[in-house]
Amino acid sequence: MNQTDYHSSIAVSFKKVTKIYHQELKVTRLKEILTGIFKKKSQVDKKVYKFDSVSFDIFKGECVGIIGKNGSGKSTALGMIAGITTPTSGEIHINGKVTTMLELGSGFHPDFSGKENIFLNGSLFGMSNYYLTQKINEIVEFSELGNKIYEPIRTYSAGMKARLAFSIAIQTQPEILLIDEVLAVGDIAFQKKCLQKFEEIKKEKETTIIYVTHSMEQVTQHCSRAIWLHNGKLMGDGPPKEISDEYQMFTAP
Amino acid sequence: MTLSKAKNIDNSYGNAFNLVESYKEIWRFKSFLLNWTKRELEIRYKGSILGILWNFLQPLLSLSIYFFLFSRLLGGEIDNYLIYLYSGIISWIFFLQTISQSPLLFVSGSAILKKIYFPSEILSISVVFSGLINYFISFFIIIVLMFFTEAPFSLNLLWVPLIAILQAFFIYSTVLLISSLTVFIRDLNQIVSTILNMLFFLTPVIYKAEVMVPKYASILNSTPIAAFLTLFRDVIYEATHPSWMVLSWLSLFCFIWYLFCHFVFIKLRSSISDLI
Repeated sequence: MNQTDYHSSIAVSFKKVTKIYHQELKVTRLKEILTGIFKKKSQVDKKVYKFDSVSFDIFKGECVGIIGKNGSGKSTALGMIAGITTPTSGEIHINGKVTTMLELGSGFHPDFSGKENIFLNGSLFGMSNYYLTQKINEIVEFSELGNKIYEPIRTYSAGMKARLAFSIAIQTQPEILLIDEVLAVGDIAFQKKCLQKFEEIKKEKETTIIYVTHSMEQVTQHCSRAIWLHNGKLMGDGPPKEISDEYQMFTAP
Repeated sequence: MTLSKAKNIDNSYGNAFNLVESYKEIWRFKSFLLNWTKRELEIRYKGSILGILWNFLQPLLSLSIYFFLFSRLLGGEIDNYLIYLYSGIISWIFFLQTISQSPLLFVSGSAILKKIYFPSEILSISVVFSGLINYFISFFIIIVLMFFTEAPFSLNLLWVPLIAILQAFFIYSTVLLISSLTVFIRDLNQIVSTILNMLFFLTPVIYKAEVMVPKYASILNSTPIAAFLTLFRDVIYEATHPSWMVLSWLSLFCFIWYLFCHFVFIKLRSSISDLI
């Protein structure tokens, strides 16, 4: 593979990415950002490394599972790829349209009907109202909500909400899809349907899927690669079976 | 090489002060801006019987209270006090409704800001848009009232859209500044509402500065809020041309104010989602 091919086949590239959370007072932080004068290290600023000089490349069409215990930096990684939060230092390159499925249905308003929320939430993902009007039947059908779609969201069960949110998000036709534990809600049948949909878009459009989960079974079954994070450091990167075995060895008492 | 062309989060949407990029990104989310503004207008009164009517019933109710209380006191000094008062209230309410929402804008939007990527200016813009819509509805009501009180009409009414847009621009800048600063200094929520309370009395909304406090009239009339009020009153109540002096100074001030506010906002933007 020559240099140009290599670069154009990359979907997400992390180069020595570091993310620090400052524990000092917010007002002090404000002063530092606005004046550009940062305090010397000796002074009281407890830094928490959420992400410590992590580098990896994810290629187009890959399905990558990110594993690690709570607080290991998995969600921070997704947040940085999505552009929700920015790294303190290092470089992130993104090549393609990103759709995030982190805690689906965040933009839902309980008093509005499912249909109104399709437009509200769908446009939040960057889709136009025109496009959503064309896709609305498809969305309602995939969500299996039927006439319930005209009722306010507050009357929905958690599973129904998740189904609707997933059906909306999947319409963005992402090139890079970020998924954070969204399949934990919803019943088994719908989980299966979602996983099937992932397989479909993976094959059809060479969509890159980056997947955060605690289920080793899903990682080994559906992912082509696993990345293991621990306290913001990269611990392993390779075939899912190997990495998940290593991870389980590590976490076992 | 494709990678060099690829979107680099750190450069294109980080701390760079690039207005063209910023607004291109907002334009990409125009449907969201539209839907969110609609939600803003509906949300407060969802489930209430009069619904969206409350948006302009409220200013009308405060109008009738102030008119009831002050028309005898000030009516002798001010011709057609009803229109004088209402024109002031319209301009003031536009300011009040939008600025009072600004401190908690990001905090209350944290559910989406932390989960989905979108240009966060949209939250500020939609607050201003919904205020602007209420402003124009009130404008049509005052036209009706002017008709009944036999107030003078003039073509100078055509200035209203320009005055409204200028005021919206000023409010947008201020909302950007307050909303992002409040993420760092939560006290601003209390400070802003206190200041708004004081500003209502320090701005000639229900009174005429020259009549109440002739000594300090020039000071009270020269704040930006009073300046917008004066412009609006000139074309509605006085039926005259707005003062070129005020108009040009205010435009210049708004532009500089905008650059300052947007600069602060861009500096703070990347830290906001970590702190809410």
